[in-house]
Amino acid sequence: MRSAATKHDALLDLSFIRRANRTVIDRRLFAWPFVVTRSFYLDPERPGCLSVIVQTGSGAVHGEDRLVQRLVLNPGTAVSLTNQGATSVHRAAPAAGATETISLHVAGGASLEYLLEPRILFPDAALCQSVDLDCAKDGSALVVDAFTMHDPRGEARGFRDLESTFCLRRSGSEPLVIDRTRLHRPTADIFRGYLAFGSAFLVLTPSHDLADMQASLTNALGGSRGLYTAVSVLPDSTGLGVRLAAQDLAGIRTAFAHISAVYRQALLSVLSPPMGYSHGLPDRLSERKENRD
Amino acid sequence: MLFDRSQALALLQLGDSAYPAGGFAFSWGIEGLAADGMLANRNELDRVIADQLTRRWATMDRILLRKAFQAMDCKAIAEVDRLTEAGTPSAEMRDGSRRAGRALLGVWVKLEGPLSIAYRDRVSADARLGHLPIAQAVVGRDAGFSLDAAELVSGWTLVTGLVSAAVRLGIIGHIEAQQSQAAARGLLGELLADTPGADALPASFTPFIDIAISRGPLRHVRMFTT
Repeated sequence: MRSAATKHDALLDLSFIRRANRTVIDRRLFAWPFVVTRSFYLDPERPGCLSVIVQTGSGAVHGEDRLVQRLVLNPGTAVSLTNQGATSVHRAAPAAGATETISLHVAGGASLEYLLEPRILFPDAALCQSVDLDCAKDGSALVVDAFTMHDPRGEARGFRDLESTFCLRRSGSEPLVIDRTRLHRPTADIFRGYLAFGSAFLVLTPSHDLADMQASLTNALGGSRGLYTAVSVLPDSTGLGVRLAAQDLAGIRTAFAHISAVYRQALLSVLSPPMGYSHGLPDRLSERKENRD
Repeated sequence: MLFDRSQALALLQLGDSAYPAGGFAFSWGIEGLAADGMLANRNELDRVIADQLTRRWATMDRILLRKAFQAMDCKAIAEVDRLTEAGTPSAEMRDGSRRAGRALLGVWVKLEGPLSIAYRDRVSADARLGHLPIAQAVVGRDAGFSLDAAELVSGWTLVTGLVSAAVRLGIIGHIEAQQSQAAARGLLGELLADTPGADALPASFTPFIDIAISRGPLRHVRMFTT
């Protein structure tokens, strides 16, 4: 069924709460093409952090898809969300294009890692995506975004349109960060031989030492071959932004892994003991929740 | 089109590289790209200028300048200024834009431009304000420019700043500088002929320039602020 999964028109709508020092899902709604199965506790250093893998039944973004996601992290929760792999974005008919709207709410004391795999833009693909993050001042988040290009014929035909926007608010404030990329029928020469491009946004709490983290990230990314990158402080000192250009998708993935490691280390350095260090049984509650799509 | 001598002379004054707003302190990524081995000759400079004009100035700075130029009052101008701050994720680019904008505004305060004086009061009270495209709009209004003229000066001073930095870094000579400026003049003319929609949202795609500027603090020796 193609209709929206919830009253908020979200095809994927997840909400998380903290229960017994662990994060569990308290709302799990999804509709085609999204699929969410079992969630896991995979991080031994943060046993209360829930890992969620969002799958797409279609396996790709198609020409006129209208995809909507909403994630709500309630106070004290910790979630790491990814998907099953790099997502192909297929050609769109002239004047058409796919859209993906992602709304992320992170409450106080909560932590989100939103680690979507890169997009692979096929010839004549057209995608407009936006990520709106509202993160409490004592919440934190890592959001990554990347794309590469691929022509199955090997003819270096390019995509048609890409617009990607990341917007950050803190507790409903006016936007503190708006990073909007827009490309229309780019020619290959503007990429200077690099094939993959990405950004990472680390939204942090006032207790994090930005200068120290910036140095750690710069050091972690500095040894990667074929990677051109810089780490900088975001407006209002709300966190750190990383811009990346890599010679292939593997380079972007490696960089994101380094960034995630630094982010997790920073969380551990300021987390309260119950969420960061307690141990518990795998989450059963989330498995009992029914899907209402 | 009629030739407006008065406006042309004003354009020459504000577009002059001798205009005392400290433009010589900014390379807008030229120095960083050269240091990182991505810019070594005139062809590469022309590509960087085209990148800056097409995928940043025309789609972002120009949009913000237009909004500020058309803003009703200082409060509305400041809203656009804060949007510029939010829309510039790199701290080094934000700092450079504010320093250049505040210097430009400062000159026009001394020249007793009324809007410049009024807006400088707001800028002095808010560390987020004073970005270059916004200051260019304010100064352009004080100078009696049309919006077209203000845009032209903004685009052209970017070109001359990039070329001047390349000359001072020894990447090109003075004749090549004129060749680069002539090429950029043609491109800027094409871009100015296309008017952005009133609802255009600022956007950019200049990853190499963004990264080169943001890596500035990692370099042991540098001539320019950006």
